[in-house]
Amino acid sequence: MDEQKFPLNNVSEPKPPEMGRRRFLETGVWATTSVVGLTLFGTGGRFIVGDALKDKDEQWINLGEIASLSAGQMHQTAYSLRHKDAWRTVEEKGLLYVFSDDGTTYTVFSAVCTHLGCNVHWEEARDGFSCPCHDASFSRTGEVLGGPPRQALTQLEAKIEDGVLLVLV
Amino acid sequence: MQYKIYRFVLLISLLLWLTSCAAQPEAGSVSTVASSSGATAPSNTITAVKVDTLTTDSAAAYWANAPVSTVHTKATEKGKADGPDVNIQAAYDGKNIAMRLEWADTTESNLNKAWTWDGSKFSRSKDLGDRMGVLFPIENNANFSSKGCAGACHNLDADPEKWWMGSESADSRFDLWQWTAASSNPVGQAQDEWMGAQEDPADMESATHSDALKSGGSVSNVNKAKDGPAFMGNDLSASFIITGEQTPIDTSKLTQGAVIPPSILAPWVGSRGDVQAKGVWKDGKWVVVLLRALDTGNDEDLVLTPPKAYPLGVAVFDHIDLVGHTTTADVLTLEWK
Amino acid sequence: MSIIEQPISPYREVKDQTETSSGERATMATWIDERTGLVSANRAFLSWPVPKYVERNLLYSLGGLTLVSLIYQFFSGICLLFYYDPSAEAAYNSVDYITYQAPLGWLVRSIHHYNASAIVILVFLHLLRTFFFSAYKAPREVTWLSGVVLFLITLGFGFTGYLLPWDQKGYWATRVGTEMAGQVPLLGSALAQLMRGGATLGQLTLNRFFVTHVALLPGALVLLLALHLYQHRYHGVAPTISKRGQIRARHSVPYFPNWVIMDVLLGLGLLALLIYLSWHERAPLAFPANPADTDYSPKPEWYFLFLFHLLHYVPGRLEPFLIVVVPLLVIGSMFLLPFLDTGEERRPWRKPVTTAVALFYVAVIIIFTFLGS
Repeated sequence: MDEQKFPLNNVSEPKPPEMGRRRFLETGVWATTSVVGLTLFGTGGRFIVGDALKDKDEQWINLGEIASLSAGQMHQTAYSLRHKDAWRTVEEKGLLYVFSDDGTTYTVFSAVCTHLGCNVHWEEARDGFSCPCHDASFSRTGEVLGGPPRQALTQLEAKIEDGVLLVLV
Repeated sequence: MQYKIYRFVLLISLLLWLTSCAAQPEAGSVSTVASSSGATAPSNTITAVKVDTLTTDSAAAYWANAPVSTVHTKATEKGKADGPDVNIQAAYDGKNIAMRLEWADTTESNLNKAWTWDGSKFSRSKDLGDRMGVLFPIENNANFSSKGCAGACHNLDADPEKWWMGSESADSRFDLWQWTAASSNPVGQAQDEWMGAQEDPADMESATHSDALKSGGSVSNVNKAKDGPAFMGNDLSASFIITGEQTPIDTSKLTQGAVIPPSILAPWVGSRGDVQAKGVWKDGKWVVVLLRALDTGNDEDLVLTPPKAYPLGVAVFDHIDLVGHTTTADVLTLEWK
Repeated sequence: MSIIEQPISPYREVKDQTETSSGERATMATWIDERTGLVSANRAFLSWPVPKYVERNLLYSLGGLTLVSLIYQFFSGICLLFYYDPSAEAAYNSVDYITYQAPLGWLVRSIHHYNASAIVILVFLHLLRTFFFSAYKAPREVTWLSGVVLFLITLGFGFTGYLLPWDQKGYWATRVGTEMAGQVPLLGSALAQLMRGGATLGQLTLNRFFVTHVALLPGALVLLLALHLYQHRYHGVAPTISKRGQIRARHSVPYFPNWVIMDVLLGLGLLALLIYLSWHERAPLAFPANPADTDYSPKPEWYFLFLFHLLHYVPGRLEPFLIVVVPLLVIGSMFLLPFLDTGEERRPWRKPVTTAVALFYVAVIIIFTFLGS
């Protein structure tokens, strides 16, 4: 290695103007790197988060004629609706429980347990819902009777149009 | 040194034990229903036992070693009575699978819309024969795997005439082995069929297709005027006529009330005849053995590859039509031992 | 043992050793080394004296065996990537194809499956060994800290890998797992949605879990493993806690091959065990995921079972506490351990508080794992 060509040893004995230039270059390197880094991480971060934080689109779905949903009885209804899952259009499937005392007002529960999202079962004998995951139980009106959930079953907005029950999911 | 060997053995056994413990919970949870629905659940799993060679003999010795799953059948129509419980067993060898199904039926109905001679003319009966069907999805099917037959059944319309069975997508088909006492049993077969998507929304049968046929199959036993049968069997007391065993109808040989089978049967040759069957009605119950190749090589058939677990459903028709049949309400799982 | 405490640097001095070997191989090695310096660097990295008490001692082979196990996992994982299709429509079918049709697919997938459990067990045992021998004490804090992060990465692999077959088990375990994240106060729902890539479990969730499982975590694992191994080499083996060991510590043996042979032999044994388990029972594949199923009882992979099962005993109000505070406490105490326990004492029976806390953690994990299974 030719020490005359590459006088690296001299670097450790800087003259004041050299020092200023070196510090300037160093600052330049860090500043440029920071700009590049922030741009990359900013873009990447925003890209990765994507639309994840958007709320779910709500949609009215048709649960059929109320005539077929007899009063005084809990009806389990599966629904499927077309739903955008990023670049796919999928049939989203879900489960609802429909109940009416009088055949005029309807209560619709989402079957999703408010604890950790398992589907609850209707148990006729106990007149309530139960969740298989952590033995939670809910009353007919969706209130928590036992187990870990802190919230009642989610009640969905429902309306009747022309004798047809519509639910907002 | 001995101290070390002791420690070595201890640690290795600990590792072995922990790893096999870790393997344990998986083994049991393959049947998804078993864990949740309590006491009746284990019978929803049909475990096929490995044997040397299979036959359609329902009394074969290996059936004594095959676990029996008792499954309940329910009416597809709301409010109708449940059907019989079906005892199901399964066995397999390197090439074939056999299923033995046994269910109570007080009447043997082995005629399907047969002709009756009243002394002067023929009339066509509306009575149907007993039937049984086994249904598997051909492609992996999430809906059927968790709901069973209900995953192929479209019975939400208030009008049962609009009910149909099949798939919502042509990419997701079903394999149906349909055994009929009147027409498939006498030739030692169950009809191999498949179901896809509805081809004509107005035609409720348009999702169901018979598998391809090279030759054979039955022909309708009807005369040109369509007011009576064209042939009668050599054996007038038999409930069926096999091709080659018929003679042109000769009413002089018939007594009043004589019954003439409505078809001249011949075995299906080709994909439609993939399923061999032998059914016997005795002492108030049907015992049917179905036998099929694990892989028939035909595209319309499910390929069974042990030890993969398969979802299936079973339906029983007690001399009744599609609307009146009873099916297993939960999904059944076929496993292999 | 002063040599162990010294940083490695004089690679070039060791180079002479390659020239003592005779024949073509030595010439080849010399040629490569003169061009790259890699042969002597490797030799210098491997040839260091270790105290004799580590020789043929299983407790000192847990780390090495974990490394071997991780290599198996990378290998089988890369093989699986040749067939796996990370789309919600096809993921299940591709795993089905791997398990039942691809030649030896059952073996590759089953090894990956069982080995995942083996890694969790080995990492856990390695961690306990390190803890009870007080090997986390100064100057080895960074080795310990990188080890704790590696442990968490291992669990992250388990959590993300479980979903990939898109079967009922994976789907429901992930639904519950992301809901658990949703219980975190304030940040919960944002956290759950970030994990899922949206409000519901779908294609984006699968993509997120997939990329985490096959790119982010492996990258992080390799970097941290390099740090972990370098720290181990830099500081050498921690002093022993047994009297027998102290006597044997006066002698040393070369790391390669004396210590390595044990890892390699155990690695062979582990491979045999994995092949046996795979042959005995293939890695399970439940039926395909059906979000509308009411009958499925979700159960997480066994090493998360204790946490899942603990929720049975906790009233709803306390759940955020369990989900946030307890893991923070456990992981936090693992991180802080080398800075809290700074005394000279290395024997666990002489420092009852740290030992008791650790035994309590271990007991809770074991008891609730069994109760949950």
